Amino acid sequence: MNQDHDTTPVELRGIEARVDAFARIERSIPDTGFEARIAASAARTARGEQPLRIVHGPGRTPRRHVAWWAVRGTVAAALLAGAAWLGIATLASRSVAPENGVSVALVGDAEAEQIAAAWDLLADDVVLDRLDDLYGEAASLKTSIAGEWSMRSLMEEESM
Amino acid sequence: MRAALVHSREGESTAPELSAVLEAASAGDDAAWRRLVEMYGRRLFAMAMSRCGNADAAEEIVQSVFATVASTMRTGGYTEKGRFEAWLFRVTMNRVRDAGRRARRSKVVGGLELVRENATSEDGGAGTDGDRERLRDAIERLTERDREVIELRHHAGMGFREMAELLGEPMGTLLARHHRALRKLKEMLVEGEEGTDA
Repeated sequence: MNQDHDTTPVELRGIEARVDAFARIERSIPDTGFEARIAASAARTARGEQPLRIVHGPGRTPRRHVAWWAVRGTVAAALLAGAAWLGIATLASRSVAPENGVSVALVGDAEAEQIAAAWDLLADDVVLDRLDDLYGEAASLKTSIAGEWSMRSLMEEESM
Repeated sequence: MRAALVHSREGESTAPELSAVLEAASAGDDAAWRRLVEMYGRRLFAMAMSRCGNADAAEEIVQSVFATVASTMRTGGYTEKGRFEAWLFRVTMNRVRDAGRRARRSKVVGGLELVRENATSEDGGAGTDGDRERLRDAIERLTERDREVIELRHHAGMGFREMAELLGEPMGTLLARHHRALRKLKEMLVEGEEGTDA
């Protein structure tokens, strides 16, 4: 873009070219809708109308910004539903019947890891923090069931 | 209107053409505003991006600059006397300085990610992501006056004559400052590379 490179000493032309290239990348950052958004807003202002408010989210468009929150909520709900379904499915397919006849559901390690991995995709949020607590409690319960704790031991403790 | 426009180089237009565009823009003509943003939008964006390091914030700055220009034109606060570009960049510089101060208070770094996303192997010599980050860091470490001349010259793509008009300083002074700023950048980058090698 610059036309006056001949005014620059030879030893500085390398760094000048690097800065030029860097600036060119900076100018290429806006998406293809950039000009239309800015122009529409300015034209409205020039006509005395309420200017458009550009709001950016992670998706760089207002619609996607709003949708992102909806997606997060949907993912959280889907995770809960999935966890519940997983519990029911596991209860039906892999229930164990201890000697005392009480059936308990066990969530497999693979499933637990899948849930944890999906969970890691979600950012911090009040609702999500609460769901995190619930997940933690469920995990503790699962650990207890899978460990030495059992209905029999509980009954033995109660009888002691 | 678009067909009547003749470009001499990127982002530049002839004076009579610009006057016609400005006249139409002040009446709220969509095509005229589109043309103005095409001429200057990305240059202003790059200046803003250099200071705030965040693409969304940079776009908001550009939007606010054009809103100011539109509002001033609508209320008759601007009379075209061939100084539109200087005025536009002065408004931008003020916004960018404010944004820079805010960014220093709450260090926003999201822009680095966007630079990486937009960078390709055909980056025209800007180097790797690491090179660009070092260059960005070096520009941030320049004095305000040196940084300003680098940003106006490279990010905004201004000529020294326009810069002299905008800043109210002799061209020779700006040329000397530009050379000094480049030399400092070069020294900082060499020091950084030596530090990395060591």
